[in-house]
Amino acid sequence: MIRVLILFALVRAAAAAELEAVVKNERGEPVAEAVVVAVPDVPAPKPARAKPEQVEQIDQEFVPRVKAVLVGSAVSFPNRDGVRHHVYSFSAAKRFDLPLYVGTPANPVIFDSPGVVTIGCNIHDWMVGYIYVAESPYYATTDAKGIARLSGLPGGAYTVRAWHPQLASPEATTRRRMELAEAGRLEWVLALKPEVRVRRAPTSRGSGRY
Amino acid sequence: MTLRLHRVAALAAALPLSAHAQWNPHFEAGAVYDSNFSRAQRAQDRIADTALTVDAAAERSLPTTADLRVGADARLAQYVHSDGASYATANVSGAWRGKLGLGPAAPWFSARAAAGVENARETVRDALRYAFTATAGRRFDERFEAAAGFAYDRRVQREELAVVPGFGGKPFSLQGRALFGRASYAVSDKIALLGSATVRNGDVESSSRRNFTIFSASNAIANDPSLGPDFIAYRVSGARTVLLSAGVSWQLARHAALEASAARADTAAGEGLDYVNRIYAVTFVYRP
Repeated sequence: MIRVLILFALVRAAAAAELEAVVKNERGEPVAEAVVVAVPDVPAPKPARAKPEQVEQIDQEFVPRVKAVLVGSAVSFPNRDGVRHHVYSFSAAKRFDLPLYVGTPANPVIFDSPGVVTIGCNIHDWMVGYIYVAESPYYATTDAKGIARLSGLPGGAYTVRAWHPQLASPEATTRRRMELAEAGRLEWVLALKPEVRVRRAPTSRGSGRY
Repeated sequence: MTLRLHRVAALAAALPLSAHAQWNPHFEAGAVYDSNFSRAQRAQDRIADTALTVDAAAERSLPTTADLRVGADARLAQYVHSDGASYATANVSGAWRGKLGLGPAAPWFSARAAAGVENARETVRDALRYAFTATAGRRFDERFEAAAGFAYDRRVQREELAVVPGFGGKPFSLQGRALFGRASYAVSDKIALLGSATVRNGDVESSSRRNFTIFSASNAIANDPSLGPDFIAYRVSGARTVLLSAGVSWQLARHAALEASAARADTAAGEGLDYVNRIYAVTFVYRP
C-alpha cells in the first residue's frame, strides 16, 4: 500500500501541466505574437537535441515575424521569394550575416545565447523579424486571440514572463511567480509602443524626361 | 510610324508575360498634365496637354555576390490633344546597388544605366535614349530617407529633318547633366510625403511658331507637326532647368500605391529665352 501511495505521488509530481497565458494591450484587445516563457525553479532536463526551426521569407516578409526557439536551436532561413534576400542580425544575442541568396542557405544559424534577436534584410528595409531565444523549453507564442498555451510542464514553481516586439517596458517587469500543479492561467496587460516600420509601398519609377 | 509605334506597344504588352520566376514585374498607370508641353516662352505658343501613361517593367537579379540587376521596361503615352507626340518606348537597363554596412540606416549607393528606343506618331520625335544615374542615400530612421545624385541623359533623334540651311535638323537630339536630391517622409503607415529638387544643365527642345528670339538662340531646327502645322521645334543648348517637385504617396495595399505630385520647372537659356512648366501627375503603382 505504501508503495502504491509513493508511486501515485511520483506520478502526480511528474504529471504534465498546462499553462494558458492571455496577453492583452491597455485597451483590452488581444495581443498576437507575444512570447510567453515559463522558467522552472528546478532546471528542466535539456532535450537531447533542439529541433530544427525555420523562418521563411515569403512575399518579402519574415514568416513567422516572431519565432520563439530554445537556446541552442538551429534555425534555417529559406527564401521562398523570386528575389534575393540578405538576412542579418546585429543583436547582442546573435550576430550573423547571410549574404544575398535564393533558396535555403546550406548551414542553419545556431542560436546559442538566450535573448531577443532582431533580424532584417539588407535589401528590403521593411523586412523585420524577431527570434526569441528562450532558456527554458516551456514557451509559446500568442495567437490572434492573444492566447498562448504552454503544455507538458512538470508540476512545480515557475517564473513566467511575457515579451512582445513593441513592449514599452523591460521584459523583466512582466515576471510572475506561480505554482503549477495541473493547469494554470495567467493574464498580462502590456503597454505597447506604437509600431513604426519602414514603408514598403512601391514608388513610381518616374519618367526622367526632358 | 504608326506601325512602329504598334510594334513597340506589342513589346510593352509582352513584358509582363515574360515576367516569371526570378523576374519581378512592376506596373504603372497614370496621367500627367503639363501646362506648357510645347516648352514655349510666348503665351500664344504654350500648349497645355495631358498624357495618359502605362508602364510595364521587369527586373531580375544576377547570380553574383553583388546586388546587380538587369531589367526591361516599356511605356505607352497617349496625349489628349497632341496626338503626334504620343509615343511608345522600350528600354533595357542594368543597375547596381550596394550598402556600406548592414541595417536600414547604412548609407547606400546605386548606379543605373539604360538604353532604349522611342517611337512617336510623328517621325521627328523618334529617338534613341540613353541614361545614367548615380545615387547615394541614407535612411535616417523608419520614416525619413534622403538621397542625392547625378544623372546624365542623352536623346538621339533618329532622322535628320533639316528645314533651315545651316542649321541641324535634329532638335530632339538632346543631352544634359543633372544633380538631384530627393527625400521621403512617412507620415503614417499609409501616407508618405515626397519631395525632390533637380538642377539640369544641357540642351532643351522648345516648340513654337516662328520666333526670331528662339531662332537666334537655337542650333537645330525642324518642323514639329505634332503640336500644330505651324509649329517648329528648336534646340537650345546651355539651358538650365530647375525642377522642384512635391508629392504624396498613399499606400493602397502592400503591393500598390497611388501617387500624386505637383512640380514646377523653370528653364532659362541664353538670348533671353526662358519658360516655365507646371506639371501635375497622378500615378497608380503596382508591384506584385
